[in-house]
Amino acid sequence: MNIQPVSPKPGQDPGGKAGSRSMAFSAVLHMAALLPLLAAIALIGPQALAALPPVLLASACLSYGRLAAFFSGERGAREAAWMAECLPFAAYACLQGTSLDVGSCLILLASMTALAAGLVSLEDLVFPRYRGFALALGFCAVLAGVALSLAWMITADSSDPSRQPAIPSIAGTLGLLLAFITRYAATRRRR
Amino acid sequence: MRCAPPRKTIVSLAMALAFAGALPLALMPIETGTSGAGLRLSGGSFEPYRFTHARLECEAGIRGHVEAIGTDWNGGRRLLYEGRNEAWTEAADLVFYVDETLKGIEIEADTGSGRQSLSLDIASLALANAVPDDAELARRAALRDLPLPFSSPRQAKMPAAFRLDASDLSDAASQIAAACFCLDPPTGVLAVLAVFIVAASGLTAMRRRMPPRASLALTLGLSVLATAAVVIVLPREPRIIIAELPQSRGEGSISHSGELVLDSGASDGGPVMRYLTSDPGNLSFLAVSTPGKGGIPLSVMEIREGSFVFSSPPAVFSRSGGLGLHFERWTTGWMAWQDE
Repeated sequence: MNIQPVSPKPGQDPGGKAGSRSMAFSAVLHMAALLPLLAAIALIGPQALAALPPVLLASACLSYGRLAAFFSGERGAREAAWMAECLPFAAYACLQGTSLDVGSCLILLASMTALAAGLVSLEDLVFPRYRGFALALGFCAVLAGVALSLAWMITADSSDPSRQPAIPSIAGTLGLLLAFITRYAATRRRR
Repeated sequence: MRCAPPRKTIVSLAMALAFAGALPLALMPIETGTSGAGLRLSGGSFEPYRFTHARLECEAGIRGHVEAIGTDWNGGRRLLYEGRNEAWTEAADLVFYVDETLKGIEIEADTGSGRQSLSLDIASLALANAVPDDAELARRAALRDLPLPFSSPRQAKMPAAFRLDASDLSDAASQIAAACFCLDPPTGVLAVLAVFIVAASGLTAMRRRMPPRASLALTLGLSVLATAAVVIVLPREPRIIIAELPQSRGEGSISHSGELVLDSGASDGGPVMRYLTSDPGNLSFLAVSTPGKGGIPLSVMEIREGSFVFSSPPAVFSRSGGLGLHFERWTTGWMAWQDE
């Protein structure tokens, strides 16, 4: 499945009737994509949220953004924007279900976002033209795998509370490094 | 097929062995908890299922961070007390919860001669004060046998009253937890997220005419704002629900039934929500929710001298406003007291 964003044709008035209809349509589609996420976290409740580690909750929300980006045919920066829009939902899920304090929760979210940004950049570098569903699923699987291993590392020694922010921070820094390296490599390739 | 012995039996056996081993020590005229010329601990009953108030002393003076870490019989470690002294003092008061799973305590403090530590054996400390009599052993056995259901709250308004019809203590605990362990629905946060969805959709419509990077920066900014709003608006107040258990009815029967009514005077803004009954026994069921670093004031527990048992033992924190208790995210427990 490959859905391309609708762009105004050359010579067409972008502020005209067709343009504003297209804008309204994309806004409604966007709303329709985010509403299920809101409904899900409102209905799930604290019991179910508490059963999952916060790293996994954050990765689930980011994966939802990645899949939504795929179905709306976005790539690159707009794909990252979709994932960024899922951050407030992830913050709610993490804080509602666990005993994380606000500082640790924000560190965790920033780290997972950096990690996801690194993976998106890598994906853009390795598969610049491929837009298949398998790629989106692969991204979600890798993110979930990383989140599971981070959750395991955090809980391996639960008597040490400093692991809670330290381990995601290391993963987030690695994600940022990955993003920079892949952007640099992509720029060199274009030359 | 052979069954493994229950955990409570193992703990009881281990405690009995430890008491037997520590008996000669307890009879010797030694000062409790002495560690050379460094830290010294005095006072404290160290009776299981109670909060122990002890005094940590150091001739070189104590200033800064003080913490007590407990070691369980199964080797697990947990924080018992954490506090901070801003001014030099020769003695600091420590409070911690002691139960039968606790084997030893390690206290660390910043003193005038550097960071010092003190290791203590709970069994010998308790025996140095008093050898438990039959009544004390019966009290411990009764508390050890109290059922502790795992329970997490549901999103609902707390009922003003509910009817308890329980066949035994386990049933009573489950019924109380199911009826009144509630957190208010987070309508404020859901409203914030709904507004965010509308704003993000509006931005999407506009960003089709923007360069991708500018639209990403705007979306990221909006998301960060919404995340901050969620963090601010989400209710994170600790809450403790204390429900009095009606006296057991009938001869030889252990059923508990009665009407439990929310005490509106006790629940005005504070973390304590009390359910009262017209015919209270000597047991109350507790359900605690402490999100983040929030805590329950210790004074809530010590309003009446009693014994406590928790599904996960709390840590005591010394804060500017007094002593506070921090539990795991959701904890259940019992408060018991002797007949007066």
